[in-house]
Amino acid sequence: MKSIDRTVNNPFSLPKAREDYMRHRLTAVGNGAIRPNMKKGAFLFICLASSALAGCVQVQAPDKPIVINLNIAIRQEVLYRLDQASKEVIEENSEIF
Amino acid sequence: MAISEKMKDRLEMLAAALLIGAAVAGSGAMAQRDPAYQQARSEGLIGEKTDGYLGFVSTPSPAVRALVEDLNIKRKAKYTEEALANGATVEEMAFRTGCRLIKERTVPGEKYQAPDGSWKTRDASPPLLDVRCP
Repeated sequence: MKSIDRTVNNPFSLPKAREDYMRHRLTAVGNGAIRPNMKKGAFLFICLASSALAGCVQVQAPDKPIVINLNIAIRQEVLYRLDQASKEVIEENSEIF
Repeated sequence: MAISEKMKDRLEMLAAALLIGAAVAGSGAMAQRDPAYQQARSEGLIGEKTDGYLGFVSTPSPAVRALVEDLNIKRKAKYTEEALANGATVEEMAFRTGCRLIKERTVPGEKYQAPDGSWKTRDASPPLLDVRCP
């Protein structure tokens, strides 16, 4: 335990330095595997794109009444499995059922 | 001396266990429906839907609407909790409980929703349940 503390968790240990260097090589280079600056670019792009779209997309209320489909997806085998749970939930919260 | 000390500890634990037991039993007995909710049920203003929530049989008064919405929110919270614990979706948990609520918790005179969506009044005969109800 102690020897691990002396290596991995020590900020100035050799393994730590090696790890830091590898991370530096992967991230700091422009065409490296991970570029943190890409996040900034993507964010800016999303902002620009959404503001551009906001100008032209129009939302129109439907003239027909909205019908909500109540046929929810139910897995039959799950219903059997919930037998005990449904019993308990009613018993333990009888004031709301 | 040491033995009597141990005995004392045991007695204290026993007393604590009894107290907790009594408290749990007490809270269980206390868990009664709100009288306004019970009344709305008995009067047939609201009913059990097939999806595990309460629904309005007729246009509700603001008070009844608020009551039902509050109960449905509380129900959904419980369904969510149990669904998560059982690897099911909230809808599945709600639907399964709905089957049981219609079958076991409605009494004659109260309203429930039939599989076709219409409101029925519970009588002594078994209720109409969704074919998916176990």
